[in-house]
Amino acid sequence: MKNRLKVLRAERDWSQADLAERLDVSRQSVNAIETGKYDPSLPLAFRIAKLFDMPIEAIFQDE
Amino acid sequence: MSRAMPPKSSSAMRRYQQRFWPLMAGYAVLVFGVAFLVKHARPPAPWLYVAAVLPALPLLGVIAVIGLYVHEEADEFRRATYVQGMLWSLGLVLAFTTVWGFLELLANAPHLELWWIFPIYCVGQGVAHHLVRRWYR
Repeated sequence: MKNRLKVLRAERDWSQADLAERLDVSRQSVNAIETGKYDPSLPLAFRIAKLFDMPIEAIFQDE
Repeated sequence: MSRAMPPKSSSAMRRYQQRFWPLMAGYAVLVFGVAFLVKHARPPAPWLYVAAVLPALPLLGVIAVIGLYVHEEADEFRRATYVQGMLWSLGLVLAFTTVWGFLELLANAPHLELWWIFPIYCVGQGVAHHLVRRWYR
């Protein structure tokens, strides 16, 4: 699944560690999601959407 | 950056370590202690069975500790990589013991004691977990 996490993070000038801390996950989680190797669970996807104040489908797109 | 960096290992992993190492210390004591006892004291049959099972008890505890870690790990990605490592190791142990079983049965291969399966699984789990995490980098 593709996502815009890296772009959204860069727009806010957050490091992976910053985003990880805001989401209460490990930095490795953020990296794996950004690279598209790991798809987050629905609860984590909702947390990400809430943090960026966007709908889930604006962040994650089905390939 | 004003916020502290998140810890490299989760609190669930730290609890896992805190539970795991005392059990392994207990295992080492019981393995050598019971072997010494059986060799020198030669307990009668019912007590011999009890004594023989004692070293296995800390390893049963380790299985419970592994289950607790998977249950308690709040970081879903860490949990997923750990479980993937478990599945890889489980698959490898099943494959290895199945092949070895037939080698013993049909080709007179040396007998593999059953108690080796758990240490082989643990080593496989450690290696597989490391490789799975590397793949996600």
